[in-house]
Amino acid sequence: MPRHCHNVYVGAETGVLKGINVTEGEVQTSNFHNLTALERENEICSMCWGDDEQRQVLLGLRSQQVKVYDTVQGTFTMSRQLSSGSGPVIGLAKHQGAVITAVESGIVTLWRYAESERVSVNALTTGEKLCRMRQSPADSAVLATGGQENDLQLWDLARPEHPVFRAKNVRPDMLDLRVPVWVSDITFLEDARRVATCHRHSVVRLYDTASGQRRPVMSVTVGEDEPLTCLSRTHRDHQVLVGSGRGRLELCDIRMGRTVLALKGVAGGVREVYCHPERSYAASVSLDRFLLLHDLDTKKLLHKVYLKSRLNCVLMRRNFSLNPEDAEEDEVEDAAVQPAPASTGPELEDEEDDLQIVEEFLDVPPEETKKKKKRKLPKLKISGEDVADASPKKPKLPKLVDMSKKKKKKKVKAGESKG
Amino acid sequence: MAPRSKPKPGEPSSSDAAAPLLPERCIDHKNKNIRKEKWRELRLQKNKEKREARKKRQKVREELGKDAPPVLQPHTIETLRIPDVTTVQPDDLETQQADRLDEFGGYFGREAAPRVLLTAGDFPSPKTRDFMKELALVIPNTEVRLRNFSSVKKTARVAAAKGYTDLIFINEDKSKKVMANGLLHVHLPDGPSALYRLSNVKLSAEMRRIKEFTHHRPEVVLNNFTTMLGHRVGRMLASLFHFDPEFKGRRVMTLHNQRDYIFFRHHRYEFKNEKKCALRELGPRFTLKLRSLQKGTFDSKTGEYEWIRKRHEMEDSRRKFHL
Repeated sequence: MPRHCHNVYVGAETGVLKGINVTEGEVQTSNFHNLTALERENEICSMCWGDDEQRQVLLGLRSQQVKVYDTVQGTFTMSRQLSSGSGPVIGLAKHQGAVITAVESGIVTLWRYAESERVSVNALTTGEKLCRMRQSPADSAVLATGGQENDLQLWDLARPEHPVFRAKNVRPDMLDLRVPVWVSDITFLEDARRVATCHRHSVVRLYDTASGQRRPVMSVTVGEDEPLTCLSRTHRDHQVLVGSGRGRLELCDIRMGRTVLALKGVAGGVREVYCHPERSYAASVSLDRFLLLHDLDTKKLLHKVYLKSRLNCVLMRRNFSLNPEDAEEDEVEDAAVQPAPASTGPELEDEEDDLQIVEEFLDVPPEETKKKKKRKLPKLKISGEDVADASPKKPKLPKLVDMSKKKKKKKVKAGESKG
Repeated sequence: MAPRSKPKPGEPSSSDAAAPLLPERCIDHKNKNIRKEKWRELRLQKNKEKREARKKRQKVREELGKDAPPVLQPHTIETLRIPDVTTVQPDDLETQQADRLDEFGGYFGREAAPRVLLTAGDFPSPKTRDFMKELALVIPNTEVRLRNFSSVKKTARVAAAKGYTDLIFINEDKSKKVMANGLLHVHLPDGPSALYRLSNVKLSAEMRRIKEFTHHRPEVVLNNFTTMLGHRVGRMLASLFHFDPEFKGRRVMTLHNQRDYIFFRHHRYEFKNEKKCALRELGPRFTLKLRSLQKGTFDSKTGEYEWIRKRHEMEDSRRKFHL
């Protein structure tokens, strides 16, 4: 499957991962699952990109499984059952090659292969459940968590005992009552020191973590009794796109402290919103089983795609564009910047530099990965929507470097080059 | 200044190049009498053309007999309905799987028999009380309870713990002196909550048929729930009644959806012969209109909705329906 085939990925409540290819004129959808083998426990609760090149998609399920989907190969390459706390996986991230999961009961874990190196944080010291965990774009070890009656906290995995930043609630309201807190989504703004959260009690709050002030810098009320469920930063730093459980998609200006734009088209509660970091596209996914693509500058609804299942998560590629000129620019950029990926076979054997990269940043000594080979589950190779029963074929594993052989080759090459 | 129409210059166009649905109101004359005359002439001409066309079609039908083209159907709002993307296809695998896994999977898998709790506001009026009593006779395995000043959320929690599968609240607006105008159906334990506007309630006591009720489990007929939302609502309403009807009782509940209004009727049927069936309507009858379908039990402030009726956004066309 060509790399640029699907530019939007959506995770559904039934556990189906869908890839959508959105072009200016048309939209093509394909399911990546065997539709006869769906289970309630496999509901996709969170999704994130597995690597910087956006080749891999990480899925977090209700049963605390984490699955990896490789977009280039078009198959699920890995599935791991984790056990930490209870509840579905509500947040996923990657730090130095290892996966970070956050579960509803509040436990955030960095899964290193060596048990001694695993870092575990209990983010739910107060409150009922954890709703969201997001990673800082600047430092992959910094995480933000928030939940029901559990205000925003920033954690550094290097120092897991106490949160780096713990938000303080706003002052009691005019009746002197404590204002309730239910953080439903968190986003880091561009400079990564300002964090915005949205609450089910219809407020969006902005915190400045470097200023020393624990109370929110700005608190914007969006609508009346609008349970805000998701939030995303947009291509403009001072604006944030918020979705509510009642089907309102609003562009909120944090500088001005009010809503600037309300996008139409949603009939059900918005589950997740994903805005492109540079271009003005916004993808939103809702309980009324539609994926909506808006343009924030022209305020238009570009595409409305019916996807049959209730949808939970959405991801958009960095090179997503409905403009053919942008696509060309992206290809040029990608060709210049792209490092040789570790799992394609022939290229790796030739280049010395890439061998070194594999050695340094591989989270696990090579012998262990060889053992792991046997434990890996067979891949589900799916193409398009009509799929026969998935039979476990022999897994096509990425070619791992055989250190002993390579060293010999290295010496030979060094000899040759010197000579 | 032509009345009730966009003013168009020139004579009425004889060609059919203009959009066929727009009537030819191209008569534009400042003098009202002349305008009237012209319009009358045009109308007469059109009616004549219509009659001739119909005669032709009848002739053709007589000549061809069986091979004749089918009879033209008159346009109604139902036939002109804007096709919905979310219409459920019967052979769709994904929808079938979603049905197996959703909140009603247990009911349709015949695992849990429904047990319904019916209640109203704090001091229901006599009419509402009568309506509740009748509903309790109509929906099998229903209990009617007084509200006792408890909240919806609390009631849902306690009822779920006690093993009820469904909760129905009848809402009435006493200030308007109308009997009952709202119905909230909460499927337990964590199922969707549907809020309906209740109207046109007619009790069987008024129809004097209440003595003809039997206690056999009824059959349920769901008509015209085509879209995904309709499919879900239909399943939700069907899950109120027991999945094994007693055909001996010849009782049928019909939930007929037309133009987003759900009509509830209760009949007893008797087949006279293979083709004819006699129906006797027992009460009650009422009409429901879906206002919102919420995921999870009732939580209007912090909950998520699967569908909310947004009048100005969604109902911009008279030919667009959601169920």
